[in-house]
Amino acid sequence: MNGVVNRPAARVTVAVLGCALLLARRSILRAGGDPVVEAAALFTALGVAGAVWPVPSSRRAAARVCLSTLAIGIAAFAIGRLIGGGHRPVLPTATMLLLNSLAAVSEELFFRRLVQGLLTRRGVVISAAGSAVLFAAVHVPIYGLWVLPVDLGAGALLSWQRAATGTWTVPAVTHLVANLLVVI
Amino acid sequence: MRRFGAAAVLLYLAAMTFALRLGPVDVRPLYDGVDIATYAWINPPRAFAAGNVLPLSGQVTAGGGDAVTLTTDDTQASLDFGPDGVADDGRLHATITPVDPATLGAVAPGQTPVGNAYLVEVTIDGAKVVDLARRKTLRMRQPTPGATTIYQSPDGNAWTKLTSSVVAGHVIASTDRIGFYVITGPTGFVPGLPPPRAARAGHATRNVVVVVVGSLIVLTAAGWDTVRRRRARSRANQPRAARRRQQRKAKRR
Repeated sequence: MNGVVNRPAARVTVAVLGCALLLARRSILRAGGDPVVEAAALFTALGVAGAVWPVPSSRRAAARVCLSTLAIGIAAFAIGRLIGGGHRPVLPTATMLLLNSLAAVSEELFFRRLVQGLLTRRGVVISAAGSAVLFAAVHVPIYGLWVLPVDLGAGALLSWQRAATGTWTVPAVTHLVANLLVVI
Repeated sequence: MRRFGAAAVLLYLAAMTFALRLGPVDVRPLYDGVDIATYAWINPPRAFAAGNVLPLSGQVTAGGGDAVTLTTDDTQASLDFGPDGVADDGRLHATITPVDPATLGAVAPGQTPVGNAYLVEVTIDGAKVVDLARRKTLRMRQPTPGATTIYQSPDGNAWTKLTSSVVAGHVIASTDRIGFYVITGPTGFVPGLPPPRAARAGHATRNVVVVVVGSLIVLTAAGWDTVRRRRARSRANQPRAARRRQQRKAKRR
């Protein structure tokens, strides 16, 4: 089994499948059925794939570095929230807050742990840029092309956190807080 | 790595400063795009009646020349007056109220109202405004797929079609007339379709349970991976530790 999942073709396949699922999510959620259940199933599948797929281990930074990187990320999203303006996209109901938290953790498991982890051999810049570009691209069908710079910047920030700390948990917490900042 | 971090932060803040102003809707993007808010109907079709929450109205008061956006408190509809508001002087007061479209006149042959109509009323220094000097951006949340066109009416009877586009689950149009606005779909378009979506409104508790279970599965998978890595690392370190013990024993001898 390990031999199969470690093959480059298998890695590319799982990354492409995950991105395709995210690109098609708007059509999936609008096709019928309960969108909350469908979104929860989609992000659970994405999160589990991101969590269990083997990736090369990376050296974890000291707790002090992790905390400072987390603080910088959260501060950047808080400032972005203040200067960006605009209205919240949804009301902060319990379901929405939980679903957004699940989505944030699952996306970080997929993009930062799996995709960035698989690209690590090609260097820090390529792995971080690769996961940031894919992260931005999968959001375009939801909002349109105008969101590309925002999500590219957000993706670069989260990818830098992963590269600087060696763990996906720091960008996951940052992403979770960033989503909360959008809806409150 | 520090330069990379600084560049990433600057890129994100620059994008937030400019991109949101260029966007077609004044809505902040979620960083994972989960946008499945349930539409609040003032008079829900039977399929959406269970668990329906009534839509909210909104109002805004501002000085002339201020940037003004009139939005309902549930963000379902908004009218962006732009950075210069309505007039260079005077005090602007605007309200937006959801209205049952069944109480208004027929929209147009072949078109049926879908969702709520919204009545926008604007006064400047107490005087009612009907026409705006410049076109303003109107945004209304799409009640169901297929409802794609906004109609405007000054009195709720004579309707005019606005050039509309659908972006990110919102129907957007520009208008220079104040009054009633409603989203329409082709006649025969049933707002309750597709039927399974009707079930969503009455299942708030079930939805919370589903999302919590999903979260637990993801966290368990992530925890399992961490445990597996630690075990692998400790196994890899065992021979080295054994070698060190042997070296210590040899030194003692």
